[in-house]
Amino acid sequence: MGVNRMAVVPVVQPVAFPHRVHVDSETVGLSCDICHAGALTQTGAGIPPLWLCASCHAAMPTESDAARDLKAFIDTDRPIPWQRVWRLPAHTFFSHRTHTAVAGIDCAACHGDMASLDAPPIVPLKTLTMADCIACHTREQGGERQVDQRRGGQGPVRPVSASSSPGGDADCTACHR
Amino acid sequence: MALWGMTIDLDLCTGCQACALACKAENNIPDVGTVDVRRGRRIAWMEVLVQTDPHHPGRARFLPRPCLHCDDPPCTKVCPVFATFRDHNGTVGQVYAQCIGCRFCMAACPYNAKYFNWRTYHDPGPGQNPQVSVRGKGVVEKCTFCHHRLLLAEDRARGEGRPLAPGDYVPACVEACPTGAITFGDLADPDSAVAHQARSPRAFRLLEELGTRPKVIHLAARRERDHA
Amino acid sequence: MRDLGPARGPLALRVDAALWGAVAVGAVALGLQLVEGMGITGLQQPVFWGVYTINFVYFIGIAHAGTLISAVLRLVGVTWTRPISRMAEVITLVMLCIGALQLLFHVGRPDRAPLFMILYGRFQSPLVWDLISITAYLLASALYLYLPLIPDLARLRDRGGHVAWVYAVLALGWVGNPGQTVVLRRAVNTMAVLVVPIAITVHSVIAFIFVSTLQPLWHSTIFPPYFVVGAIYSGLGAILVTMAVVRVSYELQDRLTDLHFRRLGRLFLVFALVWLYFTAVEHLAVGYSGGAHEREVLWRRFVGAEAPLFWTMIAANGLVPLLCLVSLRRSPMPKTVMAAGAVLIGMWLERYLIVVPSLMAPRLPVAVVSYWPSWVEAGVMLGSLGLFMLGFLAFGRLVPLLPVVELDDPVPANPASRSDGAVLRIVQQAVGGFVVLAVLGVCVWIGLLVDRAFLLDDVPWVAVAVGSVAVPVFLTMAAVVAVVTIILPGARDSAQG
Repeated sequence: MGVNRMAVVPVVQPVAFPHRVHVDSETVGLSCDICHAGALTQTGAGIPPLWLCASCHAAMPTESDAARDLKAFIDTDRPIPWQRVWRLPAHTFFSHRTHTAVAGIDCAACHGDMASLDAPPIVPLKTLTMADCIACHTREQGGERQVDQRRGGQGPVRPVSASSSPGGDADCTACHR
Repeated sequence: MALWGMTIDLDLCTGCQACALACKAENNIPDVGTVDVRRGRRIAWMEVLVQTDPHHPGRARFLPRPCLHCDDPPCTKVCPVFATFRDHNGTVGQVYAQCIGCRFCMAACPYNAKYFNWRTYHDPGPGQNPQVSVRGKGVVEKCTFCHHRLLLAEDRARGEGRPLAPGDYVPACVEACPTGAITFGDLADPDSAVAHQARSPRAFRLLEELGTRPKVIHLAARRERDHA
Repeated sequence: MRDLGPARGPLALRVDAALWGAVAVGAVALGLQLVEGMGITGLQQPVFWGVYTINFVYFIGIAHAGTLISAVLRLVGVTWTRPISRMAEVITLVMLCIGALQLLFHVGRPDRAPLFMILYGRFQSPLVWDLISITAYLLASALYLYLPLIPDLARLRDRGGHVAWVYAVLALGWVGNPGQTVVLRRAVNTMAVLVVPIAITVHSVIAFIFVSTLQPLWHSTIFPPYFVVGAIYSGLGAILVTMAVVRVSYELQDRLTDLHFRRLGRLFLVFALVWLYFTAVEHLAVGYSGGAHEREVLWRRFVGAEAPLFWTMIAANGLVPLLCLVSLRRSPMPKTVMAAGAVLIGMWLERYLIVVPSLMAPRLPVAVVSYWPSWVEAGVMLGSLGLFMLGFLAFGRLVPLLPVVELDDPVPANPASRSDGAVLRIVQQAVGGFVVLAVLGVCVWIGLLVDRAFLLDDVPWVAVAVGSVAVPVFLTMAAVVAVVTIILPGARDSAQG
């Protein structure tokens, strides 16, 4: 609780994927869910399969080291062994769909400004703790009783909302099933 | 605010244990092995209790017993770390990440509805329900009224821009029962099927005299049934 | 003063080896339990509380007698217990630690339990009351052991030698002048008054762990006083056995005389009768007009599955002590030790009969399997007992087990004793300051938990009730520590008139 369980060991990706080039509307302009296909529809956002990268890069000239590495994978048809950066502890359940498609939260709210990165992040841009989740959940509540924000919501929080309405609630068993 | 509750019609119950099996499958309940079961260490969130009477040999009563999700739960009073608590829908939750395994709540529950993980019986792996934790050793667990199904149903309803409809949220045992003996729904809604059942003259609450005010209400059988 | 120092001789070595062997067995058992899970014990459903719970209640029960002997009897002006008081206090302190440890063996997640109970404890649970009361009792009995020990520590300091500086730090500049004597006496009396209600609270709270559930025979209002009486009873047994062992091995026949055994034996007899009374009342109340389920469980004790254990307990706790203690004119020591041994066994059986049979009688027709403790629980119990004896012996080798200065009272101030240098004073005050800060930290922690109870609307009135009792107690003890560590060293140089 309140202990950062995210990846703190720096992670090196097999291909130095630059988010900025792909997201920037003046170059490619891809939205997050084009590659992370589950971001709006599933629990896990996912990592793009090789064929998705190949659909553009197979025919493109290799201008950078990253593109050359990628071409090597495409030519030999080996799946890229991406290393996981964002990791929640096993006892925590999180659904991307609920937060993106249903609640309308922007990806950058939790993942940080990925669009500005020229190289893959070696650690998460934002380290999220339970306190951060609770802070958002209880802010969305409304109603007379709010969990005191000073504490950052550390520790178990009994739900204070009268209904399971939009915005979720600080129901322990919603995330810890 | 919903008050999720259940009625179990003992007249319709055949003791087939489909509810117990469905619960095990839905909630990643481990197979503890025959050795441990013989030692009394079964984990059966939904358990079909069998009551026999020496004065009526050859007959048995089947009593499906999930966690009764009491409105005045004796178990939540004694937990030292708030791992078990009654949420705003009246469902008594259990947070494995918080439990220290003191088994105080197990001692407090008069229905023996709580179970303990005496070992790490299994690890997360394929073939399990990804919506539910796989519990390691040392923590207490119990029936949650398939709370994860409520979250999924609410998600869907919210996504479709409509309120939760009756029948959207149905625990695994309710779904599996072949005779429809188990009815589930919002006890606070006087028009719901479960509230209607709860008002039946056959309705009784297990160990009512203890004052736990359970939300699983049994309906007494109209006549004794022969033991198969 | 008997020569202190590491014990010599083959017997001492053998005893030490045996005790460390016992501790090793316990450690191995515990290690396996931590790796494999509680599954390697005999615990199961429906008996998920077993030997560890029994030992928790039992050991902390034994720890109570020190308080009775040294605090209560001192307060009413009894002086014949003076030689026994320190031994009793050492038993209290060591047994309290061992007893509290049992809880750590009992929980399924000992890696989480201490931190979570501190961070997230909620006051509605008797286990949190336990945490607070046992902490208070640990501090109180440590203080109550240490304060009267100061004059003896001064004597040890004055003997010189390698470790004299340790004794010098702990002796707080004691020379025995009137100024210091007054302060110390007031501090000891304050602790004597404080430690008694704390001790009563500890075992009442442990009883509440059972009382707060709905198990048959547990939900009984007689449990808190019954547990306190049983605690003192078993503790007296432990003291009698210890007294006999110390008298024989240290050859202290002149100090621990037949008179002491006779008088303590009479007190023991009184408690035997009180215990019998409570037992009779409890069983009568349930048997006469208890609920059907409760009466069924009771009947199993009288004539059913638990009858052998029950009647053994009645014999060991009732019959044997009555027979042994009724006439102590001749050879009181063997008689009282025999009674004490029987009671130590009988009280363990009593705790067993409290914990296990009620769990084996669920109200609903769930499967019931008998409880058989496994080698793991036996090993951990053996290790715990070994650890207790090692702790007791360690104390005996470091400080005199009989209060020397008190017994040879009055002792004139020794002007030849070394002056406490400035460094020593700083160390003393730093240690004292550290203890005071730790206790204040406990008070702050209680306050934070009370605050959270209000925040979460989690029975805040219970939190306030517990907090408003606990905090003044801790603050008083912090004040005693502060006064003693500040004033005693300073008063050494004050006028001796």
